[in-house]
Amino acid sequence: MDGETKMTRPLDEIPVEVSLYQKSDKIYPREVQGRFASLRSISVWGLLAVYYITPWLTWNNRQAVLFDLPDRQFYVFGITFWPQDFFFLALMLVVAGLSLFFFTAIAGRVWCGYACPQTVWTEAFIRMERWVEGSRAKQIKLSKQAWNAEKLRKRFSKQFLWISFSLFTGFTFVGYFQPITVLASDIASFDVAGWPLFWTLFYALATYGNAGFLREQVCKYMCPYARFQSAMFDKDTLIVAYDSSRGEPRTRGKKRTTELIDGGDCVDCGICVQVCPTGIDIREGLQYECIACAACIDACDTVMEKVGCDKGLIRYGSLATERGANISLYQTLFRPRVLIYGFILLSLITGLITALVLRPEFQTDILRERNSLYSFTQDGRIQNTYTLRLINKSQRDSTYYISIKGLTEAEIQVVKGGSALGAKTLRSNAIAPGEIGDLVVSINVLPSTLNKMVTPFTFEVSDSVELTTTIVEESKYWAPKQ
Amino acid sequence: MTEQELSKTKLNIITAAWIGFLSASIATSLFFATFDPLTLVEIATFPVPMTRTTVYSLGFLCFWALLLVNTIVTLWMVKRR
Repeated sequence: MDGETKMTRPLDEIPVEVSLYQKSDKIYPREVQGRFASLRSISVWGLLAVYYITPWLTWNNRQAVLFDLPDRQFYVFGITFWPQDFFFLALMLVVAGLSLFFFTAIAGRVWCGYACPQTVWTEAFIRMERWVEGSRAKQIKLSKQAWNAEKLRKRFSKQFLWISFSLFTGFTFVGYFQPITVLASDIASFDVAGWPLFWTLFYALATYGNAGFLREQVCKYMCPYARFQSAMFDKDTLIVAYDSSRGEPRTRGKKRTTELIDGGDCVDCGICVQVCPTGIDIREGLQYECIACAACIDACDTVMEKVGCDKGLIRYGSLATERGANISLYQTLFRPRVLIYGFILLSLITGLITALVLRPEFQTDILRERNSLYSFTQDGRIQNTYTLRLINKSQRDSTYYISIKGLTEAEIQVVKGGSALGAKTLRSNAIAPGEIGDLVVSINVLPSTLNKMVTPFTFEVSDSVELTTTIVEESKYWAPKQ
Repeated sequence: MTEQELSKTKLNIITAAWIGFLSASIATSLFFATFDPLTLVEIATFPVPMTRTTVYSLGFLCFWALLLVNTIVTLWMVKRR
């Protein structure tokens, strides 16, 4: 088949198998100092500190941030989230996504350069590598030299650091999902349960693979954001740009002194390429590999200072300013795209906070007894049994008052978890903050008062005797066929 | 460095694994926010005593494996079309 199709086409249309993936050599980013490098350091160390310290914080005698999956409760400082609150999580994810849009529209890929976990952990791994193996030149030399005691020692130390750091990262990750102090003592006594151990190793492997091995290839080939971020860009978005009108033609060495009149400011030292963590040449224009870390800006500024030219040959700019437009910061911030993203973001955050504040302090689920729809008491009444699952979302011990509406002459028996408080009212036992209490109740009704197989009725649940906040839960009462 | 080279196929699988990982996370959280593993275990066709952590973990791995197979087969078929 293939052969036939090829024969009918003109020669120049025959597709040639081209590998779209270049063989990627390891990139050794050169160390760089400057404004943006310091900013990135602050961001990287700050975020790492937040990640590693957060699980160790305590709040009201429990872990402050704990996504307790085994107990199906998420603790975030004073707030407890239940599976029923999944809506909040979804909303938070939407807010996070929109923030990404918002900041991308203003400042381009700041997320990539300063806050993405891929960048943060890669940076940490690069620092460790540099600490053991030395500068870029030393690293390249080491990788080229034959194996000897020195290379073995350095490579071993590097791997030891990387692997320990990865394992600690994995341990911390699992510590967000089950109490980290318990996990730590389990590990210390070599008695970790299967799954926590599995996920620790899994996450450690992922950290090692992403930050130690794959690095910029994650951004180049695997990251969806890198592919679609251009949709949020416009001519006013901040990008890292090389001023080609000033820099070209590039001249280096003796030429600069002899033919200075025609030469551009770029001395073609190649340092901007050496410092780039994704290994691109920014002088070729904006590329999707650029994570806007601004390492090349710092590097170029240093060189420009040395050769006595103005800084800013490579700088943060926008397409519009690069084309010569004079745009103020006000114009950059208050343009429709930013305003629309900003407005949606602000409404969502307001909605989220309002919903959190107005969240009811308790919740009730009514579960019917599964095994039988109804039974009979000794005195000939029909009996239906219900479990009222009372979820205390408040921060104090609470007792709940329940009244039953819609059944005539019903007789109520509390089986478990509370006491009767009059003919049609019940009181639950006190339930601790963040806990669930089950109140099991049987409702007995004379067959003569029911004229249908299924009679709808309601439980009205309140967290005070005065019945100020009341939740109405509907349920059904089953009787035998008349 | 030869140790750093990745072939196209390997890169495809890694990409599929990563996107599948993200999707599986979403699927797992949606699914288990709706259904309590303990209830599922109770009413399962073949009831097996399992803890919540086990069910979450197996659930995630199953979602991931399915998505991975799905992506790789799709990639392969699109390429062979």
